Amino acid sequence: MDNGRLQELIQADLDGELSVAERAVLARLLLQDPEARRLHAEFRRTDQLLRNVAAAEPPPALRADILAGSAQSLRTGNSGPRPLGLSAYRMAAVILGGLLIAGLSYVLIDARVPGTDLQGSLMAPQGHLSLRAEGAEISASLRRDGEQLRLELNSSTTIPCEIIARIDPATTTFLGNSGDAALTAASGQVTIVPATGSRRVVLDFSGAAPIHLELRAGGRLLGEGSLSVSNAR
Amino acid sequence: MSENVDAARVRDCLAGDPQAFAALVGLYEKPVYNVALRMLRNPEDAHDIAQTVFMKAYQNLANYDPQYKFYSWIYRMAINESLNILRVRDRNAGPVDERLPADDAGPSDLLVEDQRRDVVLEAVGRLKPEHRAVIVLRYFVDRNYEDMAEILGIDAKTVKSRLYTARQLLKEQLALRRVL
Repeated sequence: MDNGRLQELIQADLDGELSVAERAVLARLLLQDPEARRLHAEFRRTDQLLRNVAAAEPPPALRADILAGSAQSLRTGNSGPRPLGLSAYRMAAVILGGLLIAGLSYVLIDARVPGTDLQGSLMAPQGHLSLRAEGAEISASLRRDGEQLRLELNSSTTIPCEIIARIDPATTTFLGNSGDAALTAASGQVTIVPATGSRRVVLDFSGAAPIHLELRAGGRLLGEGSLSVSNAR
Repeated sequence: MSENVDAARVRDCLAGDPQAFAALVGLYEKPVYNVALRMLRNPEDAHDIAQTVFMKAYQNLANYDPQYKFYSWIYRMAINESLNILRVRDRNAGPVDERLPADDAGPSDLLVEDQRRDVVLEAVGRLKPEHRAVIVLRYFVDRNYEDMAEILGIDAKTVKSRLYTARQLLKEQLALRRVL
């Protein structure tokens, strides 16, 4: 028996997922092989130590805080301010600081682009778009980098959704992507399926704007809009 | 708890019954808090995350898809919110070292139960987030492979692989600390 199969059997045993036949195989193996017996015993003990950790009781005020927050949300509409604890304020400060630094870095990096064409701005023209629906928020920006168009998408979602970027296949070609999302490309469109949570994906195209974006969940259109950027540099 | 009962509570809540949401909070407040607490090892952060999760759930109930289990939906939010905080922490603190520092802890039989629990939790807290998440879901909210796959958005094979690696790492670290 190979080691991988033994590990599989031990793990299934710990998780109560062994079939009758597998149980017999494992029992025979443990009887015959002292090394397998040692490994099994160590995993069992680890498993037991983890099981012995009792669930923590939430603070008594938690339920009241949650319900007060939802009641407040109801009174102020669905996007009412949520109660913020101290560490949430810390998070907000970190995020704001990060955005400020990212914004400054972006301006500085863009300003370093060699400008042979001094009539225009040193900063590439940009297009920005935000799409927002319950459970999904997308922020998109498009900028030109030489012959390429770079589309940056930042998504924050709690529901499964997809973003469709539609392009004119006669004038624009999808080149590739980087970031944290599943993606499929077909002629005239790129479909991005970001995992829930906060994700960032960057798509590169050659050719001309505009790029049309759609935000969809379960086939339903939640929002759409177009991004454009000057095609002349 | 049957997911059908939860789906019915969501429907009641959307129909304007405030008690339905209170019932969902009552059922899942403790596991959501425990997910966040075991992911982050900080009661204040766990409290904030539990609040945030239920607030987001409340605000997005209309988008809840009953083909998924309600608890999968909110545990996923709890895991994702925890991961967001861990990313910020990691950026500030550098890469995770999954090994416990070797110390002069005595043999297992000299450790009282509380100490053993603390060593176990410390070892869990030092796992990389993807390994920690499967341990938390398996041991602290008792989810099976299928649920873990749904919550984490990965396939069951990956769940098993991560769980095995996490257990292996924990086993090594607990042996090093003479808890095994």
